[in-house]
Amino acid sequence: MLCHANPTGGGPLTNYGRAVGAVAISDNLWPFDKYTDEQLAEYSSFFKSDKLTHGAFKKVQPGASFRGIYFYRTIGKEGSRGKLIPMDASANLIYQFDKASKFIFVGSVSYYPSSKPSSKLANTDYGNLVTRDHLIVYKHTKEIRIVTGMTDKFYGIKIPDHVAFSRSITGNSQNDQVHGVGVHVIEKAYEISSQLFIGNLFQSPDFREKGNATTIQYNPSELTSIGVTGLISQNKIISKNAKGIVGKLGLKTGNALLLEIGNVEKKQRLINMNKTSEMYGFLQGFVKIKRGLYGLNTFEFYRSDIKVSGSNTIRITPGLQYFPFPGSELRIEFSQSKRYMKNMVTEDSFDFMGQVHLWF
Amino acid sequence: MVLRIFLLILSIVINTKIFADWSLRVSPQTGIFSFQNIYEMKNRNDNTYANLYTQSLAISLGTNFEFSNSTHFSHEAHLNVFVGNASIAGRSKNVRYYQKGIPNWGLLSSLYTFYYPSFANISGNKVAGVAPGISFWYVNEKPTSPDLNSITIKSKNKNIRINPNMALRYFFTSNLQFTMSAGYELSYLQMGYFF
Repeated sequence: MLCHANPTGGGPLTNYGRAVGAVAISDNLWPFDKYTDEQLAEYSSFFKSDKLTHGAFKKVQPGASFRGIYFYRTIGKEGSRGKLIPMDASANLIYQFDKASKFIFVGSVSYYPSSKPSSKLANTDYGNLVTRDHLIVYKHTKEIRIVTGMTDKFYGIKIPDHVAFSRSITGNSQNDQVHGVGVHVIEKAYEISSQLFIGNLFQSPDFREKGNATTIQYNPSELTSIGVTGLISQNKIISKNAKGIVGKLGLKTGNALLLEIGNVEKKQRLINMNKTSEMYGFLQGFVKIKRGLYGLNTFEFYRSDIKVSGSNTIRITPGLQYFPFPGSELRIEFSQSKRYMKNMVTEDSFDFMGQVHLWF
Repeated sequence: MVLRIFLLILSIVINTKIFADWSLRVSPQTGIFSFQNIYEMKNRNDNTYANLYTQSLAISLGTNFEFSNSTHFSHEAHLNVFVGNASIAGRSKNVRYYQKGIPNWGLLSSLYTFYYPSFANISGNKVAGVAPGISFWYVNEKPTSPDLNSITIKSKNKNIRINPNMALRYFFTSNLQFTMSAGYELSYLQMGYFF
């Protein structure tokens, strides 16, 4: 059973994923404390009750999500101030074409408050309405699925924090989805996903990234995986070659460690510049303090060009994550950035982030 | 000789029962951490002042003393020695100052109260824990300005620093632990082994 309709993770949750969230991840504050696990699972679906799903509706799993953030950058510096950003409001739909779920359609439409996409290399033709997922998932067997359409690239560990170096410098940020065809194979001992993509077809042709992303993971135990990930892509402006090591370690009672270390080579294609080679590291730990409440620490490293001793940044982000009710998440994080630049050292900078995520 | 004394002390404190419900256990630990120090630069030519910042990466070696008397909480004191390397930079009007490769050394001590949501028997069987804490450290580093005689540098922060931390800890086995600690101006990753 998959938590996300897209087998590689990310995007709309399945009813199973919603139920896992309600029963195993969220707190059950009043009035949910009176609910049994079965009732919580049923409540977590969009229709809130199995009784409302009849006929064609049995095949339909709609959903909606809102994510807002209060962001206070460079605390204590002149001119710094807090900003409330409605980061994303989206509606999504999962449609099962047949009873055995051989074919599934997954789609989402998001209201994106800024007209500027996160990636500098993307074009600026985005309106405020964007789609980040529209795909067909074909389940060939229980272990093999074919994914066709627009999705995130099959690179690295998928995390919701799109400003993490592991996502931003590799071209896997908030609006970096691409159209393509991919295959996902999952067995007890391993998981492989590989995708050929032709870029975001909503962008002008010069910006469309074409290439391949592949991730191979070996699972020595049920809660542990280690693997490699790679991405080759190019458009008319830039070519990229990213590769990394990924690791996931689940401990008992909801504690986890995520690790990704990688290197990205970039070559500007329109101007004659040397190839750059950037390096990044991502280590994130979760400790379940009580039901619904997690302590998290994130350590990140980024080096802008390892060949010419470029700038180094270390970002450390302790925080708390709380799921008070099924379908709700509160997250507060305090981020500290340390920079060691070439011929320059800067003062530590501190950012505060408070995030609300609701899904229905 | 030093090693023998260390082992002697270790053998005394291991499994020592301080009093009825309290237990003590120790672990050697090693880690890597980064920290910042602030200096003040005075330009004698125009009597202007500016801040200089050092960024350091250091390797530490030390001992962790863990006291516990309940199933969910344990109290810890870490003592570490570190050696590292710093870079310093700043600007005062038209004078720019930069120096890298400044060796430093110091002492680091942290106090934590760990909360283990699951088991927390002193004999082991912990899985993961979270802890607020406070760190103290003394650093000895001497930025110099051989090429800029008109500038004097003095430490603004003093050499002893005190700052809060938040730590997450994972036990890979009942003895081997990995700790991630993030805090104001000081952060580290650490491995330790409990006897």
